[in-house]
Amino acid sequence: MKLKQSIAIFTAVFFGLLTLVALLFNVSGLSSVILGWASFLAAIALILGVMNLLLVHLTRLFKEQNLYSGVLVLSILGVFAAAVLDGLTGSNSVNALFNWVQAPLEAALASLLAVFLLLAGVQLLKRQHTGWAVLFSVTAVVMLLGQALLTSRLLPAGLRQPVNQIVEFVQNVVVTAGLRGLLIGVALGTLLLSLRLLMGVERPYNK
Amino acid sequence: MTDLVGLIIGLLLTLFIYSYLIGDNPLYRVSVHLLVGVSAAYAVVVVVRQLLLPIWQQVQANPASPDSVIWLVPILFALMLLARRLPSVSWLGNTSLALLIGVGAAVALLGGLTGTLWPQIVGVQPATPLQGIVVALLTICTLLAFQFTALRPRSSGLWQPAMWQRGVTAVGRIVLTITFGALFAALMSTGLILLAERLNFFLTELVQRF
Amino acid sequence: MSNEITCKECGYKNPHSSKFCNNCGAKLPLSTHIICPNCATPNTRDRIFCDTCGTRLVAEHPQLKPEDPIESQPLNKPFSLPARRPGDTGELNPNAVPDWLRTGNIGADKSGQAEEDEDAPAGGRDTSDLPDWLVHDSDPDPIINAPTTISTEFYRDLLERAEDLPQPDDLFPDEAGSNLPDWLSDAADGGNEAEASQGLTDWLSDLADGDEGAATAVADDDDDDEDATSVGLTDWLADLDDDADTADVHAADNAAALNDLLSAQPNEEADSSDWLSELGPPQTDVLPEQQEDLNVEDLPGWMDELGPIQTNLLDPAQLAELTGPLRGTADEAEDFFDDDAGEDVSFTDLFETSRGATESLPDWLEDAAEKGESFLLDLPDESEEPVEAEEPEIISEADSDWFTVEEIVSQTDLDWLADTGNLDKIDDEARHELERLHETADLFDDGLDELQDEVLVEDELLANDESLADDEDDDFDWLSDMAAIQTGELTIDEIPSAEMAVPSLDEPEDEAPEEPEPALESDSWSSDTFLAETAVAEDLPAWLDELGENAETAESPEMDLSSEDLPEWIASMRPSQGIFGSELPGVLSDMDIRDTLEGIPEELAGGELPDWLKDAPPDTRPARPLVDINVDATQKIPDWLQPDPPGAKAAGSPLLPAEDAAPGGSRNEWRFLLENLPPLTPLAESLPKADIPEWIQQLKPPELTGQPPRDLHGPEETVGPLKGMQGVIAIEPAIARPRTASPLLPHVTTPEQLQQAALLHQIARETPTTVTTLSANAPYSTAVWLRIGLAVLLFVAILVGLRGPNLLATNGTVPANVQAVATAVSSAAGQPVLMAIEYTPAMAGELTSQAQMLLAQLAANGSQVVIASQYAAGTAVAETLTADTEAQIIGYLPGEGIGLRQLGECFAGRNTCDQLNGRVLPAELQASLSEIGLVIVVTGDRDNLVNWVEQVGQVAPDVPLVAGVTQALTPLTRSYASTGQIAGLLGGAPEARLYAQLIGQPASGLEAQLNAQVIGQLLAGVLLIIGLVVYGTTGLVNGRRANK
Repeated sequence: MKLKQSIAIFTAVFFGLLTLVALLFNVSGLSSVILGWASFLAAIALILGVMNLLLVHLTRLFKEQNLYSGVLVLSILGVFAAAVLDGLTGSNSVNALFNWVQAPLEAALASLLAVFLLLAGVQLLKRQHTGWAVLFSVTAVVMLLGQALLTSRLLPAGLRQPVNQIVEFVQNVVVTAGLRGLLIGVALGTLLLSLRLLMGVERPYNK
Repeated sequence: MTDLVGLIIGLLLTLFIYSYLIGDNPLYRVSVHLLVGVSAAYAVVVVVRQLLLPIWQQVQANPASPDSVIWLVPILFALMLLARRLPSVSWLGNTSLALLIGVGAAVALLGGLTGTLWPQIVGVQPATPLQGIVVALLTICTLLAFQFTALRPRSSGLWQPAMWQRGVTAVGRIVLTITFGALFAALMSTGLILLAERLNFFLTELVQRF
Repeated sequence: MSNEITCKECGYKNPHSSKFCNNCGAKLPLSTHIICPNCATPNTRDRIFCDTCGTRLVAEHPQLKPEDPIESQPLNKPFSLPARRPGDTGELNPNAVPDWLRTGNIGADKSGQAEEDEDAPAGGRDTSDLPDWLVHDSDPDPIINAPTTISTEFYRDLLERAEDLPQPDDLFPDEAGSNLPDWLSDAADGGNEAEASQGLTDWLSDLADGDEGAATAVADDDDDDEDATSVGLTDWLADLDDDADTADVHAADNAAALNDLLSAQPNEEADSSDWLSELGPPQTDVLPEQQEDLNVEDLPGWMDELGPIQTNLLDPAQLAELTGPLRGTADEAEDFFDDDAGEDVSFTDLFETSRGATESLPDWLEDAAEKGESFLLDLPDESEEPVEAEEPEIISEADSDWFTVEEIVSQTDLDWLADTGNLDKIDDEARHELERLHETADLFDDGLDELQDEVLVEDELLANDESLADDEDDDFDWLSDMAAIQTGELTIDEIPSAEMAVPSLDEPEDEAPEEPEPALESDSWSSDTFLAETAVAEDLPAWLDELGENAETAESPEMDLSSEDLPEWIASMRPSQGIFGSELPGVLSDMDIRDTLEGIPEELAGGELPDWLKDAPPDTRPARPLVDINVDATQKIPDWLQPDPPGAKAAGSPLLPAEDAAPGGSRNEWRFLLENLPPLTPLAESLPKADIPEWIQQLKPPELTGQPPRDLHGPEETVGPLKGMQGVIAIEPAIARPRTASPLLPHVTTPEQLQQAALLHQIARETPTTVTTLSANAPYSTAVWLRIGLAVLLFVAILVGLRGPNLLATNGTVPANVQAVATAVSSAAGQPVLMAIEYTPAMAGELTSQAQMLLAQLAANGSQVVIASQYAAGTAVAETLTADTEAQIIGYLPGEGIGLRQLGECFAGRNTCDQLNGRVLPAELQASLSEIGLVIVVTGDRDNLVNWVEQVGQVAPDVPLVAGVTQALTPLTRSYASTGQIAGLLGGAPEARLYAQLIGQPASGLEAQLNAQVIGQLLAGVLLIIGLVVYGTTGLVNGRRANK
């Protein structure tokens, strides 16, 4: 068992270091090949993921008689069938399915975002009686109303400039600083994680 | 006609999704499962169509070429990846994942270091120097807001942050709170525009059709 | 009916479940109603089902099935003893008490038992081993009667009756009583008289009989009753007294002398331990002197066991013979003995008489003295027939006849201890013994002479023992040296007298009989002194005086205490051993008594022999066996009392058989014996080294350390219980400085914790208003209605915005980032432009318009558009967008950052753009990618934007990167825009509208959507404010209530 784990660790470290060397020292051919292999494996992994999803819901369908899983299975198989049909007949059924099913559904789900965001914002203080929640709500109100007023013509001209300055200050100073800090923090975390992966300390693949 | 059918299907599915406002119901669940199935299958179809088939055709066209031969390695890794389904040889799939994770870690390392960390620290171009200084200070406070350990113990022995630590942490938390509030407002705006687009679509199409 | 309970005291209305009034605290009556959990209808308490909805109000209890028999219960139950609650003493029925407990008859007479309780032990109990005071066979009035009534009178009567009973201490209430263990009583009963071992001092009895060369056989073997009684160690010394009064006086003097001998006069300033201090200063008297401080109970146990000194047991002739060397005449020896044969002088009485205190003596000793019973006589048959003194059987002849081992062993009645329980025979035996002692008195004279000579030999042996050399480097020796103090550094005069408590012998039976006699300090002890200090000096035979003369010239070897804690001379005084023990035949006859006592420290041995010892002539008669060894008879005797069999003695014992005895009588024999003694084992070699604590090391006397004496008068203690004392040893630091508990860290409560505690307090204090129930017809919750309402409002607002008045401002300022986009697009005119459609239909509502405008502008600029996407759905969107344009489609780019890295490498010219993700690209595409002039990323995903910036924008900085993002992603994109990583930014629909205005492409759909967005934003803002006010105020009010 230790040998098996060692092989995976060696592979990860080897190819990772190889990629680093190829990218840093501009070894074009090597980097292209390795990146190609990795991209290919990523695509294969996506396929395997979908296959696994299909098998899981098939199991649920036949063991638990879960109709929703049946819908999912049918939809997958339907798309596969449409793809095969398209290949055979040259039609574009898959795109039709995409346009008739996936697109509306995704758009509808996204359009509900505003409702739930508003609901959460209104009940924020109901759940959390802290100053931070108040500050959060006040900021959200200021930004919403500020953008709306600035975009619209409801704001008097005299108040336009102060409102604009307030909004710009919040956006260009505070928000920028906060997001920059978040970006730096995320980058640092990514950096450390990558180093751990390349050193073999982190082994998410051996699970 | 097909467009109308599509339109009606889309409308129904949209209404199914909007039924969630009332509460969880089977229509919503069906539509969600349908969405997952279709999107997953579509992704597979796209990968197969736009990646695997060309590669297959490419290899098939010239199997003896070095480029084709060298494809044996990723194919082998791909087959090993398939072995994860079999418990006895699932360890083979770890090697493929290891390759993927190793290469991805290297790419992320270089990208994060050169693409985000360094430019965000050094390459900032503020509108005014004062703004730059303020933004930098607020950025530092934001980073220090994630500090959960005290630097030194107090005279009583308790590990408590110093006054300046607590001040910096408070400033950082204020900045983050305002940032999140602004992000909430922005996200709210996006949601509103998406809702508007959806409603406008249906209104427009229905009005046009009917 | 209301769900509240009104308090009768104050009229306050409390919830129905309250037990105490919330206003005045008065106890409220129990709730008279049961609230239905379903419909909340109050029902009377006698209802089981609700009157309104029929819901069961009372929980259903599992009914016991009557058909379940006991047999169905599991058989193999775990066994457990019946429990008894605390305080439950069980049945106290007096009739249930067994007879043996009630009457006290422990099965002594089975026939006498009227009834046998079932609890009584079967077969009764053998009471032969029990003393009489426990066994009352025919006690008509048993002491223990189960009382029918427990009362004070009963116990009073019980105590009174108990007082009349013989006490356990009365070991010898009558002739029938035998309070001794079996081995003692059996030893008295059984055994051939001829083989019966005699007491230690039987030879003394024989001496008193006056038989020429006869051993001091005390008892005839054929007659158990006539077995010799044991005599105390110094009985012969005490018996040398000629008359009773004198004997008493001499006994007292002897007791005192022995007391001095046994007790030390410790140096008050000495630092020795207790047992060492007990050794005390040298004693001038061997015999006990009158010493008031001596405590009889401090004597070793074996001394007490010796019983009374049989001063009247010795035959005058024997005694005369015994004391001949001391006195010179047998007549004088006779006078020494007590004529009152019936009176025994207890060994301990010597001390008591001297002290005038007898209360510390055991009762049995006192009784023995008072009643004149010689409990040391061996009288197993309870026969009162006087024992005829018989001539002791002489096993072997030696010069030191009565000190010959065989003689002594053969004739010494070691059953004197066994016979101690047979008090009936003591009296008769006493007279017999006295007669025999007289006979042996003359033998004693010779023995003393021999002893004197032999001691000289021993001195040489001890002097050669290097292990006894005072080695100050050896830490272990100084402890032993402390006891000896015979190095001459400490003299007797320097050591003040002090009490000496005789240490008890732990294992007297373990002492090797061949241990040599400790030598006396001849320079500090003389028989003259001894005799002078003892009252019996003038009565002692002349041979004892001679012993003292010889002792003066003898060296004083160091005493060997390696074998045990006690000095040799004390150890030798054990019943089985000692100066006058059987293993030292003829010692006293041949040597001065003073020589025998050589080796005894100066302070212990005393300076002078008593006169009667000095005058004792050495016994030149051949040694006579004192005791016939009878192994059978001695089997029941403990080992330490058993004499050595003659064979063993003859085999390898240092005690020489008679035939091997050196010529010259007992003295030579003793000398020869000493010469053949095994080498002394040094204490350092035999015993493991002990780790002497430091505090003991400090007690090492300066005489041994060679250092000046420790200042005992050091600083005086000022505090503590030893305040005022000097020379106090410092206590350990751990004790002096006890640990102090570290102070507890103060608890710090953070504001968050206080808030949480207040919240918990608030929750706990909240009184439940109604019972919350779950039912199928539960109404919609507030949250659901709120959600529906908000959705409706938003929908209305959006619809109003879509179809309502246009509230948008027309003269808006175009931000710089929007202008940069236009500039970048314009700059890329005629160049291939990569446009990444990185969004799905979910974000298509906001990004599609941007993508369409950009595509239109690119098309207007004549730029070749290359479409790529990392989303599978993005390819479909891209296909939709580029349906009317001629765009090159790369397609799907898997691997996120990995796939984009290849693209970036291609844009940077580091790689050829012929392959992408392993697939070979068409030539046109390769050419386009190699000449790409602009990268436009239209995305709504943060990670995707970051990947494009990191993997493409940073890798190929020469290729501008323009981003069209949603309003949600705009703040993040501004961070990258501020660093120049993104050339242009279209932040959502508002900026897309401005861009459209900038490029002069109107977007009607975008205007309506944006108008709807504005109205929606206004509505959302207002609703957020309302929620802020309402819930914020409610929370503050609740918080204040909680704080109150």
